[in-house]
Amino acid sequence: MKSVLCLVDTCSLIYMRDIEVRNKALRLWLWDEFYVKVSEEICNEIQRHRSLAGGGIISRCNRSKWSFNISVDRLETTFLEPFGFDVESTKNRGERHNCCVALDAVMRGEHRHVIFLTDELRAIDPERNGLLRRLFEAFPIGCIWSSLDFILYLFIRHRKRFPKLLAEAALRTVNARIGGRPEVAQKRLVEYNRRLGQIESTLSQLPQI
Amino acid sequence: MEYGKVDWNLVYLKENPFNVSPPTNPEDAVWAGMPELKRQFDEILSEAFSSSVTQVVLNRGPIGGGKTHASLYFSLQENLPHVDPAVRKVYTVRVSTPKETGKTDEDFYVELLDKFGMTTIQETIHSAITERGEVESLQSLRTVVGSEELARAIVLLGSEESEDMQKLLRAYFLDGCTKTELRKIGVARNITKSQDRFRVLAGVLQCFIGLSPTSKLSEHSRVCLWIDEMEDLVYFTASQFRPFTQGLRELIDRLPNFFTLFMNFTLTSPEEYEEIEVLLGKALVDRITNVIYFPELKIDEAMEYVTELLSFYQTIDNLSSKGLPPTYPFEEAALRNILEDLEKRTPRSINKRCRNAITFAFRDNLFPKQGDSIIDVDYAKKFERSELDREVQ
Repeated sequence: MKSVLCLVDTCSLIYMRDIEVRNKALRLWLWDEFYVKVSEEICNEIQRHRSLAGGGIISRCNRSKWSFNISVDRLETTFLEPFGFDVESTKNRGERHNCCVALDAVMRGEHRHVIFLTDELRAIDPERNGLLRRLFEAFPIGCIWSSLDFILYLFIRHRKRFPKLLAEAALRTVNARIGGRPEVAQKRLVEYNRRLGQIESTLSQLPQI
Repeated sequence: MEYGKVDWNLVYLKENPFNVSPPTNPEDAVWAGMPELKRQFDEILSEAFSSSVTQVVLNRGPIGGGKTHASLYFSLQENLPHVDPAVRKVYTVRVSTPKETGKTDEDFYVELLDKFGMTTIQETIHSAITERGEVESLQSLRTVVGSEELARAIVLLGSEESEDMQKLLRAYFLDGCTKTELRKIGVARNITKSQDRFRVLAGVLQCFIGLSPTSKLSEHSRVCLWIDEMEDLVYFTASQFRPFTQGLRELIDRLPNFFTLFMNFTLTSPEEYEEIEVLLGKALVDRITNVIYFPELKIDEAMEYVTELLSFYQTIDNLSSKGLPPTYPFEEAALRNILEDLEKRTPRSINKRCRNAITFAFRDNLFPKQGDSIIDVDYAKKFERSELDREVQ
């Protein structure tokens, strides 16, 4: 089975630090599960946060750098600017460039679907007219995940060796790092725990899988 | 345009009654309205002072609902319900959930010891030991703490008279000692693990409660510990959350008598039990004995709250003799209008709206002379229009 392309944002790589799943760093599991690519800007950003980027994550990112056929600036101006992205800003540049990778990868026909992994939840919040969400609604090239979604995915894939208690702890840690107002963070933690419980109760009915 | 001055005396008030943040001094905290909430507290506290049972109370409600205010109000001896027979004394201590992202259990331990003060702790341990004798005290503390070394260190803190040894012992409890210093004070190990810290806290609190082996009220005091802003637990990573919540559980389990833990928790909606369990952790939720919900106020409750609050600050007893309503500087109907339009009717938002309305009226020169005019329905509408304009801007 050909792996799905996963584009990961700097914040997600940082929020997933110091969490182990089956003796392996949670964030390194991305490379085992998916075909991971990042824009060059992500490599720069992770380099700037190297104190939080141990365990070989910098070299992994460097080896997963995407090469554009068209200039990234042109992609940004063409695709992102009309959605209201501030393409001049240095803020969230890695995330914007990852959007360009996603569009480039699908348009070039190299991938048919992408997972866009980010914990900039403001950018995907429908209530706040999140720019990323609007972009992915207009260009249905894949789905947007948070690190919390990735933890649920790993639980589905490796439930036997990634017990619920560990998954709960991972959700709690990542959720704490994502932060936000207490009521928002509370709601999010409760929701992901509910989903985790639902997954477990469903999968436990299928022992053969 | 010339703005009118803010002079609360012009509206027969000593000062601004509508504080948006809780007062720093518990003596400034007054209880207005919300009789059902007060009844629930009085009931729990009456049980606390007239029995030995340990209580774990979850206070939950919306932001600005009055949880911190309640912790302040009930930390004052004169605001506590009177029961007879009762425990000897009530020690109330208020701490916040640790905010630093480092070691939450360590921060909590140090903050709690600091809140009591090491001098008070030393004196209290001394009294407890004097009452029961050193041998019995050590035995009793050993049972509570579950460690001979830690129990001995607590006894030493209360019994050592030399100033140098006291300095070393304080350092031992707050910061740790070198091996040489440990040998000098005669204790084998430092307080290093999270579990040790909560065991020490249990031992110290037990000394405040009293070391008598009986459950007699006359031989014990009660410790009421309020932990504010427990909603911040959501910002704890798993490695911070587990030692902290398990430590609190340890504290509760090691103090089965004469201990009350109040946990203030902001929850915007009345969550289900399972959801509270996710947020607080099973270790703590399983031990909750009482839940107090701070609801948003209905309009009549809000009117009662404001009227009572104003009465604490009014400079004259009988406003009606001057032809003024008890809701002065508001006309009753105007106050009702102002409160009815509030999006969230919590004490904080009510205070904010009322303070803004009166300040607006002061600035607008509505009260040039004492008791001369009132915020009536038309004026309340004018104020609300101005608030709307401000929000739009």
